[in-house]
Amino acid sequence: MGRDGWIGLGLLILSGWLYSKLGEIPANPFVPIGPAFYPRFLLLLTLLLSLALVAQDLRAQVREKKESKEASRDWYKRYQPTLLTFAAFGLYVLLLPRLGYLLSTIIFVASLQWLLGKPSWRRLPGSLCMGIGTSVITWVVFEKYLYVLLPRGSWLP
Amino acid sequence: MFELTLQSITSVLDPKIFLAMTSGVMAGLIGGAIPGITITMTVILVLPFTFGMDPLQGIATMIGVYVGGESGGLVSASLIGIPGTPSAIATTFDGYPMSKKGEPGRAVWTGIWASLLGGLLAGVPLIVGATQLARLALNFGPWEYFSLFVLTLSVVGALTEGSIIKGLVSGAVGLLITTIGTDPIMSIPRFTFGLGFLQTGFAFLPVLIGLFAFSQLMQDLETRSAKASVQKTVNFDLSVSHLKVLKDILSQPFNLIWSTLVGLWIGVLPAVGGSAANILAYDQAKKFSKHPEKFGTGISDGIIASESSNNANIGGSLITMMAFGIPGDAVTAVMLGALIIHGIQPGPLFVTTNIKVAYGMLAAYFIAHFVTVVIEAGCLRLFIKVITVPLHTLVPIVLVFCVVGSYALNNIMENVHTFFIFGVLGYLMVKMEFPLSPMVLGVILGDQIEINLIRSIMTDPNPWLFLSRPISGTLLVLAVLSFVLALYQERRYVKEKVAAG
Repeated sequence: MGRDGWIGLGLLILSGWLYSKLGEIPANPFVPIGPAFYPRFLLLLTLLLSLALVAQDLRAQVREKKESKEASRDWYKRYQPTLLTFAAFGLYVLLLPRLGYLLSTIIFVASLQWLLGKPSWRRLPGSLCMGIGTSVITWVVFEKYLYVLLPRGSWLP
Repeated sequence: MFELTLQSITSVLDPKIFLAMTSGVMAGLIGGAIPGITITMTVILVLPFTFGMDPLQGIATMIGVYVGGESGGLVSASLIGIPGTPSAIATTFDGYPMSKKGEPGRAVWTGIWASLLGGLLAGVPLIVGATQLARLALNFGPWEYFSLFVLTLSVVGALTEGSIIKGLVSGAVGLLITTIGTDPIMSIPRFTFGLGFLQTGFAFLPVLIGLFAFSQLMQDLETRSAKASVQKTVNFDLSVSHLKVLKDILSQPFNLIWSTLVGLWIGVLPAVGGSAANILAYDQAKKFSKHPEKFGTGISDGIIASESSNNANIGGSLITMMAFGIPGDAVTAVMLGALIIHGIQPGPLFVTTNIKVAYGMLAAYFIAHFVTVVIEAGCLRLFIKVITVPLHTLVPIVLVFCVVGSYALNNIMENVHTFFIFGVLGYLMVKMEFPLSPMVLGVILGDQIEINLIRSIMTDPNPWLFLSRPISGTLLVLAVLSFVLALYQERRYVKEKVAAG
């Protein structure tokens, strides 16, 4: 089975599991149709479409030859900036409520800019300035002029 | 309706609104000019600034971004051969060769004037279409609404590139996402699994920002090596005789009008944007041309077709959004979210109950086109400098704006988590070749589909009413037809592919 087949199978299991949870949704005596009616209809549709996806994939597997796998080195080179951004952003989301907007944004912008370009010590001051600039300017605009209360930071005094 | 639009021009010319809209045009021009930053992304970046504005001011700013962005994309497309936005792809086919032949000023200005004319020509059907269709939709009952939304999803699922099944799966998952949280009729929790932040379901805008902006940025990072080559600012001579350029455009009335109509039609189709409009219009212009062999060598015909169609596409997208509350493309999807934040429910009642905002939008559409030309005349050199900003500088800043935009919605971190979750999901979907548009449309329409389905069944439990009511029946038949036709075309394509080995 190919990639689409596995996705279809995953979706089939997920839909089946959610379908089994429909019984837990409380019914309402005032609405005869009930809040589970629409999700039931949708989940049946998703189950059918998942099956169609698996079937389509199995047919395609018979028809087409499997494409050669991308060399692992090329794969890493291609996806390295993406993976780096995912990791940095995940860390940023974690730090945001702990270090507060100002500090975590400086760290996030400066480090990601530095790492995504060609990292060198000469570029570090520039990246830091960009981080400080982005953080301070957006903080002033949103906090002072647009009255958005940005995260304060639970680790800070 | 034309009188109301003219009256609304005065409202939009109010310094507060005009200044915000002009800033939007400027942001759109800059965002559109930078390869890798799409118009949707620019609208998303501008979105948090509009939260504190009054509805017309906010929506006029977004229309400014939209109109400016469509024109901004042509600058990099014509001068460096890299489209600033997907809706300027076809502009590179002739714009760049024209620049290379030593006429960069003519290439850029042919695009700018064609954008203006295409946009203005599409304005008339926008005014008539949006108001008349909204009036027609006032006669709709829940059966008709349900069928209309089903048709919309079916068209989008069928029109998306690649497998139809994948398009439909994407749409179904989008609909399923809307069932998380409390049900829209009796507020009973569903699929919340005891998690507090799922009680109200996923907020629409962080989902949208994640699916569109985050996944787009990640894709750009993958191909950044190609785009990183745009590092040097080249000195272009942009002097041109505007009269000659305008004469050239007006000497091709059929090309201009037909491309505008193609753009309008693509815009009206839900969730199909300018990226399809400009390529289709270019292809049509080539097919109808007396000298198709010259296309791609740097002739003005191709630029006119591409640029007039992508601006006309805005008009078409706004028609669907204003009349039915269905987004014509990703940008109008964000606009819909912004309207909801301002307490305005888009749909047929929007034009009649929010006259000031609705007609203000139409007025802003016209004014933004003129403002775009004025700004481009003054700041073209700045845009040339801007297109050389490397992607690694932009990515973290854009992500910070996305975080602020998601957070500022309700001042809660859960929205940032939603943005991240759907960003990852969107990126994985693109990698697995699942289209995003049906999912977004599913998320937008999910609640409305459920509300209208339940209302219709509660009014009369006879399910045949969906088919026996003339408008509802016609819409459902069209939905089935669009699906069958797309399935037939897909099968034919697969057969041809197999036959070709």
